[in-house]
Amino acid sequence: MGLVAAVGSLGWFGAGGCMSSDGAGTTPYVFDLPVGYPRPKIPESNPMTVEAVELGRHLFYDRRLSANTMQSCGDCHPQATAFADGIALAEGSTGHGLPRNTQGLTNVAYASTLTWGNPLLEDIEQQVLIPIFGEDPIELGASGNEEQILSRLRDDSTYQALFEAAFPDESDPVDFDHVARALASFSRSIVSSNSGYDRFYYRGDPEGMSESALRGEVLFNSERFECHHCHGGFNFSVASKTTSTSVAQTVFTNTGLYNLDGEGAYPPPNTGLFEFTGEAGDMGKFRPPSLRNVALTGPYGHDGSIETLDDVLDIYADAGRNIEDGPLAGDGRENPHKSEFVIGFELSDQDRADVRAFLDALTDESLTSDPALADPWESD
Amino acid sequence: MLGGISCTPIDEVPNVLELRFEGVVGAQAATCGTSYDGLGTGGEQATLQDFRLYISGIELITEDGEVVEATLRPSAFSSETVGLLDFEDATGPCSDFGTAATNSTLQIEAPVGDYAGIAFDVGVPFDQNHLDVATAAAPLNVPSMYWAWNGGYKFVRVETTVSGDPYFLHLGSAACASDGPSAPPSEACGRPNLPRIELMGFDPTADTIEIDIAELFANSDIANNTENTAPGCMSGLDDVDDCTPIFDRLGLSYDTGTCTDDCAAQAVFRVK
Repeated sequence: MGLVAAVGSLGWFGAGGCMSSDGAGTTPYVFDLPVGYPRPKIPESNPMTVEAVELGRHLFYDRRLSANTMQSCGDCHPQATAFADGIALAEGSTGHGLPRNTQGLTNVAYASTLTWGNPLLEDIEQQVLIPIFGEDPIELGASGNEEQILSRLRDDSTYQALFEAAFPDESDPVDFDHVARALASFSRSIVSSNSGYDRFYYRGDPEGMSESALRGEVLFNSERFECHHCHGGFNFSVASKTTSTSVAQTVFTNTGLYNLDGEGAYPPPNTGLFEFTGEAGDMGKFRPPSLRNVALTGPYGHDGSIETLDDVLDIYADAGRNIEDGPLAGDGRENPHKSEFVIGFELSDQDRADVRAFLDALTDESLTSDPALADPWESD
Repeated sequence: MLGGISCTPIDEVPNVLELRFEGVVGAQAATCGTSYDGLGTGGEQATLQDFRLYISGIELITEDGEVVEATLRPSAFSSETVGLLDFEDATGPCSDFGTAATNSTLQIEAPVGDYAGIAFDVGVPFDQNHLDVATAAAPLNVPSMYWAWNGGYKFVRVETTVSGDPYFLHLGSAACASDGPSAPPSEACGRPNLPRIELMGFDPTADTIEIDIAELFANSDIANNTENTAPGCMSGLDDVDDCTPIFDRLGLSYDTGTCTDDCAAQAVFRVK
């Protein structure tokens, strides 16, 4: 597939490649964010428009994007649970098990890298190709079925209008490059700025945070608990980028969840950053996700092996997880690659309640009920 | 001085100088994942996993002792007032919180002159230190160099491990009074912890400034951290035994967070 691509339909990524649409006739997407709330960095190759977001929303919830029409993005990323799926490990459209926990998509626009352990995926346009085309495991299963899927879109009058509106300068924009761009645009629109924390700090509402949550925030930011080192800032992940970012900030840390061989091993294939660098010291290092809506996005950890937030707190208080028996046995607390900030701490009942209250203050119900982020096919 | 036809008069042409810095550990270059021998009071081996610091308030000093303010040229690592030196590249053990990009130079503008010395603050000025890292312009836009609104930035982030145990310096302001972690202080912090370094015998056109971690930890027992305190020194108010030996090497008083005798006793920065 390549340079012989004639007008439009040959070449599933389009003859235009990564050129951005001229945009005449499209409406710039404006984020509705309070003063002081950072803005997400939008790649120049995919300027964000209202029309692309709307197209992306339709694609996101459309099971026809999978080869066997059994699965959509929204099946693993449902809105009600902040675009996470509430289970440890999902299955793809053909029943393949996924090795790692589905991440929630709140504020994914601000993630400096995407997925749990890949240091190279900087843009959502790159990342979405994995669930769409990946073969090991198969998720949406588009690989080998590209033309079949695109035909469904081309033949649908709703999509004809949506693609036309999003990419008015392109004679045939129905290809996976534009699908990826639209999905990325929709994903970037999933921004939370109405949690209790946001109402308190950005919207001048003193009721946004309870006394308990404010105490929890102090603990979260203390050098005793050390949470802020990985989960600090407005996005509750230091691995973030905004419009003012000039130097890429990646973060990968090992939190002491496993230690299979006593020398730090994590159960394959979830070796984290090690998978990409081959550096022994990178074993078990994963990206700290944003904690926005964390109360909705359990179970936790890169493999969903931590059931509740109380379990999370117990593990950090204990400086890691000791698994006493079974095939995953090992004392993660002794993992030689564990972050130096996972040192353990005393956690009184009051402390626990306060930190839980703080984490609850990161829940944003307007995001989970926002019609602009909802499944457009359900209301048909 | 040339009059000239439509020339910019020579004293208006910005004179750009490049300040060169080298991060070192004794006689060796500082690089991620390298293990260095003979550090601290016990002559320990330590492995480097971070080495970044902010520079601000740069002044050049002439032969005659005249002090001239220099402004920085904006870049990915600098604004007009603050620069970030970054000797780590996020490889090896620096992969936790590092950035792949590095920076060892700062371009400044100053009038043409014969300079014999330089002075600068190690850190971020108070009026910029307590804002939001996520909306700040470079170089204050690096999340891993930030604590929170209340505490501001880490002026210096040096991290080592000794037999796998951490021994860090996170230098920043302490005793900052505000309504909470996400609220900035309205008055200066009780302990600014912002050393001002002066180096004479420095020719900005020919010399390099070395920043030596071996000197930083020369008086520290880096194999033994005081129990129940941050690993090494994170500028905590309760960490006198681990912080004082480090503060001494910067000429800083731990109790007041200000320079003793203009930080004259500092030993970490030197001219090469």
